[in-house]
Amino acid sequence: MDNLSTEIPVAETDGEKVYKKVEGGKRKADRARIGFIIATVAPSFLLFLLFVILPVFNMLYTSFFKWDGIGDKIFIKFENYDVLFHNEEFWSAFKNTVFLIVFVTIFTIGLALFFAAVLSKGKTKGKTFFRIVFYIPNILSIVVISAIFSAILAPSYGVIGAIAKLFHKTYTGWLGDMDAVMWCITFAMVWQAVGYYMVMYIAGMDGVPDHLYEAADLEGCSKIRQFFMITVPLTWDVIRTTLTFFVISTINMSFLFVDAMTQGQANSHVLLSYMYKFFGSQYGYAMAIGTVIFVFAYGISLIIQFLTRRETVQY
Amino acid sequence: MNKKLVALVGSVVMLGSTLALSACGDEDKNQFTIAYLAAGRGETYVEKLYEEFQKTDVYKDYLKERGLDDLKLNVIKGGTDNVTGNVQNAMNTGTKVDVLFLNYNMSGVALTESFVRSKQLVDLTSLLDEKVYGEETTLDEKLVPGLLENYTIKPYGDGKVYTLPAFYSPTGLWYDASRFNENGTDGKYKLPATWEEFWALGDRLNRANANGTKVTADTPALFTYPTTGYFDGFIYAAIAGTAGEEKFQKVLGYADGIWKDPDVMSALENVVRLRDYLEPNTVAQANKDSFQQNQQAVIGSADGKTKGTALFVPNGDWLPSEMAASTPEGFEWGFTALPKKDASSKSYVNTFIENVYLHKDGNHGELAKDFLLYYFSNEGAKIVAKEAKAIIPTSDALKNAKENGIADSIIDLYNVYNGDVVAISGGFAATESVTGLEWSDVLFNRLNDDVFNAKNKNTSVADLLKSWSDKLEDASDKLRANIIK
Repeated sequence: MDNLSTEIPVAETDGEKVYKKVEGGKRKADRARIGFIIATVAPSFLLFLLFVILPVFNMLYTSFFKWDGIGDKIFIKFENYDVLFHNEEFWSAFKNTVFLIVFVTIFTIGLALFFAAVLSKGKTKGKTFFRIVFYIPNILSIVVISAIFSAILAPSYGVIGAIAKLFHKTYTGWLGDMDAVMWCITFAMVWQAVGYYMVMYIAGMDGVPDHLYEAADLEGCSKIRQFFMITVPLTWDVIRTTLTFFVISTINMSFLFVDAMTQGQANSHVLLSYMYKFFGSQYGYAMAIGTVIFVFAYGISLIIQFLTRRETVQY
Repeated sequence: MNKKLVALVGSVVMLGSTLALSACGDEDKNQFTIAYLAAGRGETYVEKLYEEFQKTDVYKDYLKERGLDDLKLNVIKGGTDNVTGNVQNAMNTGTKVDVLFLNYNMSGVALTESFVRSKQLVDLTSLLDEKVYGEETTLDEKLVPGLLENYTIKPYGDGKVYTLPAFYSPTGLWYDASRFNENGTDGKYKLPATWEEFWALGDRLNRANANGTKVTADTPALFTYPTTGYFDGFIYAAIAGTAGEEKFQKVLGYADGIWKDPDVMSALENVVRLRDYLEPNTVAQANKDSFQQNQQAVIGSADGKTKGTALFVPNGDWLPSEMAASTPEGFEWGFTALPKKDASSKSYVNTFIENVYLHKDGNHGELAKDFLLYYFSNEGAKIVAKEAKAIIPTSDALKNAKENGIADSIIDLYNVYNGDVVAISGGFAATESVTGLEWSDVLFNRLNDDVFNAKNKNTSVADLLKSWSDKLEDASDKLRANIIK
């Protein structure tokens, strides 16, 4: 004990000396480092502030005004929101957006998981070929995809019309049919997105160690069961992240598809296309719609985060 | 240290370049800015006009007065979809626009309407009394009579002129001339003169095509439309023809109760009734990607082997050139005004006006006025005829059209005004915007979904008509309360 007690001060003084020395240098180095960090982070922070934070608040601010983008701004409190929430077309667009989020997500994620499971661990022949084939739609621009589907669906020269003729049925175009139009958009969006998410899931699934599957095989576990007991839990983090990603991107992508395929005909407006309609004439109102979309998108991603939260399984 | 330096320099450059970019758009006073829609009228006529305008004394005097060497032309142009957006962007970044050849009701940004609302246009009333370039005639005398009496020209209804008609064209019904003859003999049809004859022809066609379920080239449908946007002219002419010019003016001024007026409603009924006589593919193709398919339905196959599946399509004078690539050789277009109320009444042709106006913040307002006087001169008409293949709205331009190289078929079209036809022009009173309301949606854009869509097959014409006129009256009430005085 004595030894210790005598040694400690020594060590402490020693330490103090060393420490002091270090501290002097460290403070200088720290200041320099903090200065450097600020100097390098500041520009991107400023840009973030300028191009992300500021526009969001500007959107919120503008949504309280009556403004057509050129003339004077008139403060009208919540009138834009009041009109918005009583507008049939807005609710129809909202319904369509939710429809797309639900069905496009279910089909895309479901199919992507299925194909990924088949193409990652399975000994499917021509694996690479299929991967490429599934991925191709993702490389095409949305306009091209819309053109492809418009051509397939066109009543006067499209493939479906030709097939219908073969069976002596009349076909007058699903893009003008209120019951079919949203399904057509859903199909195009799923077709476009499956490949991309499939590649992501394959990357996740390839990381799952083989011995787990071998053990399961020995236990006599079916492939389907393996998928739900091993693959899904072990790739859950990937699925969870892509899900949030996907829902947000569906809100954005739906605008491109609707704009290119239907321009809102047959009640096919989605929130963003409905907003875009007012961009040129009623900017304040458009910003109110924008704010609703922002809150909606943010809310939905929080809900997904919350619902899909579970303990991460390690391997 | 080097790495840090690189990172630091990199981030500074990043910030710097962004700021530099956002500071772009410094205005150069030594330019004259003209914005124009470069679509059906070609993409060169403004440049050419200015080039020739620069040779005039008016232009040279202006330069001398201001001590300028040269005024370069700065052009902002674009197609129907993006021109207004391009202009808005340019203006937001500080460009002062002098002259604008833009219309009302354009897709994208409603720029003209915004300018009118916020009173940013130059009052051109006094310009009418000035002589056009190089001639002894005043602008007022020069212009085709009747074109100035509408809300697109006098948006505030106070007699003051804020825009001028840069182009005018009759809109009406187009058809395949080879399918019609005077008496409807030899398996051909007779051109319907009244609404009664029009519907009779429709019923006859419907009997042959099993009410639209078996529409072929041999058993065509009565009617198709490119998109519902093309109904504006149709509706105007139908109202003026059925309800009379006085009620038509009331419609344009959002008069109270006008959409419940029996005469106006009977004009609207002529629109709603078309639902039962439509080419069946029309609705699905009535969008900006496929509307040409609907126009093609009147032409038939591009090789000329089969005829079209619809008889009439409403459109303007640009239709033949727009469809030229897929029109078979020897195809002859026919054009007619809308059917008349009865045999003794007049027929009405809606005139589509494309506007030109000056912005009050333009750098060279005086020169801009001179430029307009040059535009409406015979010299200007000649350049526009050559570059845009179009006739400007002066009486002389129509007289000299042939000499200026305008095709006979187009001159014929303008001769529609020479008969006992009344030219009318739409365009509603200027109003403040009403939140969430787009008048063009209520008046024609929603027709595709609310009237013509197959979903409404089992709703009666009377019910569809009532619901449409209710919506029109309601929207009209809201707009009337916001008329700009």
